Amino acid sequence: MDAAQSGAYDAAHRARRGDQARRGAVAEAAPAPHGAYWSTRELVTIGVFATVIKASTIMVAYMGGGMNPVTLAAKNCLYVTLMIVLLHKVPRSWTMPLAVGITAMVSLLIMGSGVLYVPASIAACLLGEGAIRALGGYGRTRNVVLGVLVAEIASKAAGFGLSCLIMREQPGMLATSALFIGIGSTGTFLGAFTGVRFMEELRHAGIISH
Amino acid sequence: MLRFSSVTYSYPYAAEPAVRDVSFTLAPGEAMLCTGRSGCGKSTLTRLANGLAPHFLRGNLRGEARVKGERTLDSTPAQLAEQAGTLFQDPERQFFALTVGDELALTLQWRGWDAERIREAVAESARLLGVEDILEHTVFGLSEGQKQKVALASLLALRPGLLVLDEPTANLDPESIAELADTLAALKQRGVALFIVDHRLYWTRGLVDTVLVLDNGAVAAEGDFSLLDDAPLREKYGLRAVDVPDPRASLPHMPRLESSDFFACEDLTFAYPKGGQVFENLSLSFTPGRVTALVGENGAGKTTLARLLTGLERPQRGKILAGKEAVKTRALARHAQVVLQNAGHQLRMRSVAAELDDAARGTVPERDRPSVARAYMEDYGLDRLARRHPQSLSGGEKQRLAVACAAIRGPRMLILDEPTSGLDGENMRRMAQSMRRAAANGACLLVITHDLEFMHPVCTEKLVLPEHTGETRR
Amino acid sequence: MRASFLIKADTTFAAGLDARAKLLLCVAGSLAAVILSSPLSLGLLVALSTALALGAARPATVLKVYLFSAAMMLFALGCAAIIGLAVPDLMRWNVFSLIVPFLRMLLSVNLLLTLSLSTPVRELFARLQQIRLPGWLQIPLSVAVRFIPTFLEDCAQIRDAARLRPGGKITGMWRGLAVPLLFRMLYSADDLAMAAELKGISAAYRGQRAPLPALKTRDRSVLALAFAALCAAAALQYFGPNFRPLPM
Repeated sequence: MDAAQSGAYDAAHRARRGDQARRGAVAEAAPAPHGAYWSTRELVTIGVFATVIKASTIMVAYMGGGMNPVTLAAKNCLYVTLMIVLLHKVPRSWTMPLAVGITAMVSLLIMGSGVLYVPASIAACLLGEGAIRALGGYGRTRNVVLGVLVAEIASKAAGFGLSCLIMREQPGMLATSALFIGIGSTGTFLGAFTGVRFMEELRHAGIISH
Repeated sequence: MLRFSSVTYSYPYAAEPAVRDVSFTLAPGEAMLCTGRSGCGKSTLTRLANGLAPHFLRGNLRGEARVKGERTLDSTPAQLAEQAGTLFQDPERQFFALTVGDELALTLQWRGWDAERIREAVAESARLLGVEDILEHTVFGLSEGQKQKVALASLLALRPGLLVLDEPTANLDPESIAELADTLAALKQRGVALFIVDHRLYWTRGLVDTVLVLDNGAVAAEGDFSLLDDAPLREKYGLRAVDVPDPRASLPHMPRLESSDFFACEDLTFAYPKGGQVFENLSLSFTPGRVTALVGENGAGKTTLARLLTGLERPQRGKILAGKEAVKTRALARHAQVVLQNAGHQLRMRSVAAELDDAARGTVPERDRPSVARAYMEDYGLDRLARRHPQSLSGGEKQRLAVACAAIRGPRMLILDEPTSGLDGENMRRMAQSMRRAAANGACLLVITHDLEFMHPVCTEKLVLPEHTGETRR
Repeated sequence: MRASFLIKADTTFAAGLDARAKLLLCVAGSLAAVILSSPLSLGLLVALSTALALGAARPATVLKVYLFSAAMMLFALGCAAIIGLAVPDLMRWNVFSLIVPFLRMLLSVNLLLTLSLSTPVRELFARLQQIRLPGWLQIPLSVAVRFIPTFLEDCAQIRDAARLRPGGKITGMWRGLAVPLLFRMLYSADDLAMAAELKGISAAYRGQRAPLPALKTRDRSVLALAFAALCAAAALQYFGPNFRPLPM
């Protein structure tokens, strides 16, 4: 590469760095238009993530036939990872309840899921939201990760409660349910780890700046 | 219609401005082409014209941009869209509805137009773009040219005075490009101002009144189209050619060989589960060191052939041979690789160096991998980017990295699907160099491309797939 | 790319029902499944909902879903039996304690099959635009519904890319699928947001919207029938035979 070409190359590279900034970092602080709480960009991002969270976790679960312990853990891992990334991309209070609500509605409307899980999962992530606030807000990765974990654990507890109602005649199957919730929880904790790793990677790629 | 006065703009967190001190005026019924190498600030100008910068993207704007006399700072992007419609490179990504008719109506619905007005506006813009017969069709089943027309019709339904087009020809075949040029000429006649950003230049001859060449965010040259006839200027700013011959007729046909001990397919028969027959008893023999253009109409089965040869689809009958040995579909990736149109999907590691190392896994002995990866980085001009995250690279760099990753596996057959879509002249020439290198190293290359400018100097022969017949003319 | 990614069944009985009616049936059915515990009550609802499901999809499709559900149930029972070896108190097998949870599952499956296999995405999209939800709920929900075909297309491409460079190990699979998917969706979200902004989506949910069309006779009839069935099921639960757990 000669000097002129190299100079041009550097210039293009610098411009691209600007483009990366445009792609990623900006959304974090983009103002909400017309006094709305979320900007259009943030709402669209939440919608996209909600779809992907639901569709990809269902796809992973179906790949394993529903009760395969590996895919069960992988499903939870993917869910928590994506949720952590979303909460870094749209670091505003109430983002998690909104995303979980949209995810639950998508799964209800399109992909087939129990109606009663919608209020249960929203209630669970309100607890997660409370945890993030109590820890000091969305500004720190630690708070976000802990908040997502609280929401996930609460959601699993609520799910178990619903299982208790549905299978109340057969306590043996409740034990099975508890076993699989336990397996899924290993994926939840693994997801917290992969979520943090992904955040590092997104920062390295210039997609997220904080 | 569009006026930029000493506009300097920086994206948030960017070290330097993306565009600096840009001034120009575009009157109604005029067309302007803005070109320059990748990353020079062309797309930023479109975002400044439609108000996405700084309203949506934030950042720091100095100077002022005006659309129809109004400062872009004083209106929202949605308000500006009524005066300045923007067409993106990939129209499908801007569709929100699922059918053509709904897509045309959606913008108007969102703006609170009444049903009768919407019906009239949709009918008029559909008629203008010739899409009135496909209003009930789903937007996903359309050809690239049709998608472009639908996106344009959706913009025109708002009757804007200015159209901003960001790389409108990147995904189009030559025939669709010619149609687009005619459509834009007709709009220009009706008084619509056109601000076109593109790497492909030849199709704008006779359409544009002014050409703006950007370099590193600033205007490097400005004039009428004849400015681009200056070859040293094009070379200096990494531009593409202005006169592009169509090599599809003149390229020799791929020679018919009875058999090949390199790479071949025999009696391939394939049909999609809910579609018609794509190939019946197709036999082809490939020779190393050749770069073959795979040519055919939309729907002729170019991508399907690429998928069959690389094991992404399983034929109903027939076999694929590497070195006279029949290879199972699952094992074909060892012998044949394809670089998909969206190269970003094929990149998964944390750095360019790790990407090449990962690609070489299983085909290059472990102890040789670092040195082989280094050699490929140098060959493909990626050595300066070794530690960069692959997803942070520009489109051209991603394409080169994807080709390098495919080539490092030493496949007999290397297939590239539209490898130059959206590349500037400089990156296109680098891609051509990469392909010649892969061929010289003993691979056979099959290129699916609409890019005549790329096909002309790179391809040595052609393989023509006639539409729907399942026959192959060689 | 498929526009309606699950179905192409606008000629079936269930496809003629309004999405709102089907959603209401799902909610009522799920609540009934939790509240009711009589096999007769649940059996009645399962029989009716099976008729509805058969009006939404081919019998072979319904049968496949049933077999899948039964396999899941048997698998869970197998696990429960193993656990029961260690903790015998947990396993009090009897006919009704096996049948009742299965009937509950079938009821939910039938209603969800009816909703998902007979409602084109397009209709959901149109209804969402008509329902008076606030913008902060409407925009992401519309985007979510709109993005599904794009997401499926991206998934197919990413899966192809992963197959071209077989990784073998779990980490290779994870990186080959999850990393490109994540980056793709981040970029897609930006592109879609810019397109939405220019199209005026932020203004869309502040203005007046067209009124929701009234439910048709078919919808009203099905809802009335569902209401009657629920009343009958409740009556069976409280006034019908009492099924006590019987030792096997």
